[in-house]
Amino acid sequence: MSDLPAPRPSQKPESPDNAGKPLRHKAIALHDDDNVVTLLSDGHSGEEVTASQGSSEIRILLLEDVPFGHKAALIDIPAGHAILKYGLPIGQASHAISKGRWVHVHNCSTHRLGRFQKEHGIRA
Amino acid sequence: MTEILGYRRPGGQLGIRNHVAIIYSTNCSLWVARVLYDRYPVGTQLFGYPQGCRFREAPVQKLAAMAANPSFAGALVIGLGCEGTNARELALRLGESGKPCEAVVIQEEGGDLKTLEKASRILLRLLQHAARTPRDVLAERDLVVGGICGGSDATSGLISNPLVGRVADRLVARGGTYMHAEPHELMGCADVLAARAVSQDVAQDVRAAIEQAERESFESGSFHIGFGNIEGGLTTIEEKSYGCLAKSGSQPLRGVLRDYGRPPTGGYYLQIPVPGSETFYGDSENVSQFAACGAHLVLFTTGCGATTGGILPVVKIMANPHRPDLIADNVDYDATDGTRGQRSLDEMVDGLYTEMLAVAAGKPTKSEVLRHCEA
Repeated sequence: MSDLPAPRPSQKPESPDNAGKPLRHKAIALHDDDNVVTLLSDGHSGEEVTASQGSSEIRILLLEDVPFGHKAALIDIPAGHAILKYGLPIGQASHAISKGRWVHVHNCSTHRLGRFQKEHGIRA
Repeated sequence: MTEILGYRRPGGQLGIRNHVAIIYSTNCSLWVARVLYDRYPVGTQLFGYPQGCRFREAPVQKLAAMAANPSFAGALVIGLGCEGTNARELALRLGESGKPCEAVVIQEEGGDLKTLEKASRILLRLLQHAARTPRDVLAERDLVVGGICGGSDATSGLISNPLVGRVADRLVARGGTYMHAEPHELMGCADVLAARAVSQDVAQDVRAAIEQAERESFESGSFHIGFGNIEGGLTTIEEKSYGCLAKSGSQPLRGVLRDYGRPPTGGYYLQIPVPGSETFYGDSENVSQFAACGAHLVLFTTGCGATTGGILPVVKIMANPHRPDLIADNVDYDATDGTRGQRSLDEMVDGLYTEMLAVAAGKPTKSEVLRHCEA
């Protein structure tokens, strides 16, 4: 399994977007079952972010910087639990993740390798 | 709806462009082909087989299918002479479509510059012939459209791909044909696609295709997710895949295309390249694969900002609001209002659908104007 490169902090300027137009919500969760939101603009430690989830609005306090396009936990997620986005499991928590924390390659791992091995009886 | 006038080919198919294909049969003859393409930009397209030094059936079959695409009026093959992919035989094969297809061989003519002179005269004749192509009305049900996502980031799966999926649904509902590919980016999507299959055979076929891709990823040790995707916020291949799946829309899956030529009926299809048929790489290769399946144009979403086009008109769609300069240079449909929450996907569908039809009617996309194509 190839090593995934470590994420690096976003170098984009701090603004809703470079065209200067405001965002209605700073983050979004498409599905009611999702336990993460996706940031639509760079989020900062200590910032309370307004997110849309379906037709409702929620607020979440970021415990660390979360770059544009990246995810933040909506609830505390125990280690081994599924990370849900689009209402589907996109991976599992490799460590316990607190609400408001950045969720990415450092704490969310793919299912594919383990599941494919198991379903096809392959041993590493 | 603006009336779309297509180009009627000898076999009866309708194309939306009228290009003469300049084809290089090996990397050595690319030089001449490229000079011709640059020198005679009106009505020409360039593609070929960099590894044509050795002959392989699958890539040659695909090249023939690309030239058979109804947006091509004819072809000129430039060969070196000692390569395994014989330029004259290739031209003969392309000519089976009923279109004029000729070849010029550098080692016969006596070098690059002599070849340029002869090829220029042939090209002039082919372009004049193309100009006499009869026109006829092309309806939405005649359109074949491909969908690609390249340089994906988090906005791809959230905004751009769902938007393309809605456009695809509308096209298919009106009798048109839509296809996408890249089973390596459909990890975990076999159940969803099998459930949409029109028959048990198709369901089995799509499962087999995705399982094959998964096995290849596992055995090679790397899944189709890279640096730009990860920096853009995509964490796992599953997350990327669910985002990619969104461009499939919601229509029933009519079949898995494992060979070339236009699908027999309208509908939504998954396309799988014939193994070993790749003549290039990356997203522009996907465009070529769709061209070989009779596609007229491609809806291409990007998040990070993939700048490539292809041999078909590529309508580039992007919803990342942090790169407006890239959007200005290379993107045809700005979907950033979706990310900003200023417009819903439903509100943007009409705009993208209309743009797609305008391109079919002749509006050049940015990649066409820039002639940005790797093929």
